[in-house]
Amino acid sequence: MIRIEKLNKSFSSKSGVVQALSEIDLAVERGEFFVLLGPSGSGKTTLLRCVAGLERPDSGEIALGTRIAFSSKQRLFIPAEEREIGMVFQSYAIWPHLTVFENVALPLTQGRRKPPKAQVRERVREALRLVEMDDYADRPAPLLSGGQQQRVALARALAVDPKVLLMDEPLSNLDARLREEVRVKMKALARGLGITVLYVTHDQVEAMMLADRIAVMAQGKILQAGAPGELYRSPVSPRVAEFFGSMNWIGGEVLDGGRVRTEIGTFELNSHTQQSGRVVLGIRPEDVRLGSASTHEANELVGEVRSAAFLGDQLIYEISVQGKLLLARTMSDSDALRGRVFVHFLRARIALFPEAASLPGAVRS
Amino acid sequence: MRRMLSQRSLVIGISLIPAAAIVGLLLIPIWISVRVESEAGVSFGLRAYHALFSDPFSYRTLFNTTIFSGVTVLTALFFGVPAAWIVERTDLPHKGLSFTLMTVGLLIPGFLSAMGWVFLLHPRIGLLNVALSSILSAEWARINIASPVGMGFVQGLGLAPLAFIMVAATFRSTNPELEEAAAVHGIRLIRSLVRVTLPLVFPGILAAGIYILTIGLAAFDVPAVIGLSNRVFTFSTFLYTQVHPQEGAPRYDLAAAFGVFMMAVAGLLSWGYFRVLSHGYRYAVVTGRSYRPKQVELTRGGVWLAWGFLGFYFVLGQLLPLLTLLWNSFLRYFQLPSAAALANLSLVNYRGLPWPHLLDGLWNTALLMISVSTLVLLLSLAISWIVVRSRARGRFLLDAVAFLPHAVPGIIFALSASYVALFLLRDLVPIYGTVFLLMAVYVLERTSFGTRMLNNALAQIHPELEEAGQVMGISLLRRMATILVPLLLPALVNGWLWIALLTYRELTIASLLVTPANVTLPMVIWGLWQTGSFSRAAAAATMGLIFMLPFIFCYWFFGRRLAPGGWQT
Repeated sequence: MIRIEKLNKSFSSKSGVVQALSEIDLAVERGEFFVLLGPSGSGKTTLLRCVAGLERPDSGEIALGTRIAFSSKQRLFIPAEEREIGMVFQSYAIWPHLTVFENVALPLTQGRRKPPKAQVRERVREALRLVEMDDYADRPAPLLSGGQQQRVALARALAVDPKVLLMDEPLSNLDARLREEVRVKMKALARGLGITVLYVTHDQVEAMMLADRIAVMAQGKILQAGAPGELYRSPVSPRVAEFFGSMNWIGGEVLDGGRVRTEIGTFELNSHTQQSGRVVLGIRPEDVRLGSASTHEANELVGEVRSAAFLGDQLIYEISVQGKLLLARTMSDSDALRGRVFVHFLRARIALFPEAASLPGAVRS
Repeated sequence: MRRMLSQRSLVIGISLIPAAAIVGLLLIPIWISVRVESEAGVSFGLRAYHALFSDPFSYRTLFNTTIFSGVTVLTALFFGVPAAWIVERTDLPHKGLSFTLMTVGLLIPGFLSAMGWVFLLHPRIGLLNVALSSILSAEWARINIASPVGMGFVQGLGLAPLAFIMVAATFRSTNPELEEAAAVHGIRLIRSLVRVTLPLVFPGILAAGIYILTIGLAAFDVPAVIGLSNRVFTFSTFLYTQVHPQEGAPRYDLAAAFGVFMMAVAGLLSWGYFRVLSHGYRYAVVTGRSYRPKQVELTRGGVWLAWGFLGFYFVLGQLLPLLTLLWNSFLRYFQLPSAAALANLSLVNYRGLPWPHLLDGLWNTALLMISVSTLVLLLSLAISWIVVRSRARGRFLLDAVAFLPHAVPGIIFALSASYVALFLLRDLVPIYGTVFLLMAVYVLERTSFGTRMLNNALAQIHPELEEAGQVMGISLLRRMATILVPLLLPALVNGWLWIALLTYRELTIASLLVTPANVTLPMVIWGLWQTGSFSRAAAAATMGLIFMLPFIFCYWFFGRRLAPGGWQT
């Protein structure tokens, strides 16, 4: 539904030219909920705005459905007005001089995709019903709460019957509890309508809850795209891995295809690795198992509990293994461990990266 | 798609028309000043500059202009700065009233107060002079208003509201904690005022001073009413007499040469103004607006002193000259208020007014108020949209050009326009002597205000409000009509009324461009004054003020509230 090829976009600022997007390739399927995830300044919003037609890329190609929306080769740029999209903005951009009804109706009466006049009222009502705002149709926009504004923005975007729905951090202005509630409803709504969604966020929990697929972005590039589980379990780089939660990093050297010697001991891998030389071994805290008794399996070391933090449903331990501090996460249903513990690293969950690929700060942690 | 691009091009095109005209009108004086006409034909040279700078009269005028604008700045700051401190930093009750006393004068045309001051301080017959010299029984007690110092004083009184507003804004944006720190650490009020407050707001005062100096250098109204008949010239009236000499041929070349010189001075001052402003932001508050600074508690005596000061300004700046004007409009000749004089009051001056002429002026002025305000806002919306919203290349240059009429004395635009209309367009577009010529130059002059105001207003509207319309298929012109204009409405109404008020009182540009065929109300009043019919001029001025009252009320009670900070000349 959305096809992006070799897209480049740069901005010139006082401090020089900033490459906001470089060589972006992306394909979003019809009906897919696709999330662009990245820290601020990663280019995710710029990419979304290029798809919307609010920014003009320097080069590359964007196609929406069967229609080319931008192509530097063909010198083609379809302006935002004609791209048949709906968009929910970060600020919601609810027009404050209009009522809820008028906000949803304005694109239908003034826009290029005008339905017959007789249908406008019905279309607006329908869109408001979808977001459960039909009781507020006559309310002036300034009297809406943040959550209500977000729903009106969504209704307005859906009412134009867009080919693609674009959303720019639509939940970042809501408080945490409301955010969770809206997330669930939004996902169900998008599923039900079968609409293609391109969604921008910096919150990896939100991304994982909503997305069919996620593209992780940093510094104007897509680091990895895939289903949430794939990104979590098989990140292609330490950077992607860190984005989805904390990681323990241990520097080491590949001994033969199946073993790695590290500063705290030798680890056995699940399968042979093609890598050799200096590597970084990563494992998530929940894949570090603790016990007061030995499991007598490979990849078990002895450590000492330095601290344990109770987070309600889980416990976070700080373990010292031969002087190196590691994090471990367990369910909180058992009593907290103290003193000497056996630390077992789940063999299947160990990720291996060449040392050169690691982040400057990643190995030290 | 083609249609879309053309809408944007249309907006850019509209914004380029006034920009091109402004640049053209500013280049023309340079061209006139170096153009030498002789029997042998036209050549180019610096003859006009030689003539200008070898004539002692030019230096006399420069000297007068300097003294005049210097006194203007000092008088404006003398009243404006303490008043700003009283309103912003003390607990004086009835802020609304004190604000009104200081700012209502902005709505009164400067030439009306100037006329009032002539009645008060004319060297021979001024009411105050007669009273003073008879009380003190000494001739030396007479004050001559028809001097650079006297005119500067009157001009300064008129610009004190502007100084007040600008300095008050500085007080408001200066972090009060810096002053509170002084108080907490035991520094007494007077010392803290001198050592902490004054240095903090100094950049703001300096900026206001430079701003007022720019206006003073270009001022026409007051020197035209007081100085012209007494042959005391400043820059703008010098230009006027070169183009409209009492004898001999107009000297456009001399006027243009002086104009080019003043453009350079104005450019320098604007540069200084922006430099000072950018430095001033160092002290600006970063905290939210809800913070209410601790106010100096006035003693009983302090309250009296404060009201006395504000009242003194109001009486001197507005009440006294306007009442004198009114008083004289009912008298055949100057008289001190007395029982005998009361018996002499009559409507004879009003009956003697050239009514058809006056009504012509009123009609043209009304026409101009409506058309100029509307056109300025349309053009300014196009320019401001390009500057603030589009990423068009050269948009900052466009913004700078739109600002130029603010920096450059208005009479220079009038000079250029009259030259263009008389000599370049005479046969092509016979616009000279029509109200359209006035309209065009007024619009260019006020576009600087319109764009300043709309730049600010647009910057406060979140761009996503417009983009939301764009992605959902609403074209640029429709977005402007259905989203931008409704959101900008308060600013637009405020700006419309304010531009209409400025158009109502405009005398500078009109002085060079008005003929009997396109006379405006201020020109009718000034014309009567120039021919020595002082009392009838006072009657015409009173009529003018009465016509203007509904507008003043409209602005004061309605427009002003819509966009605080919309004051500017």
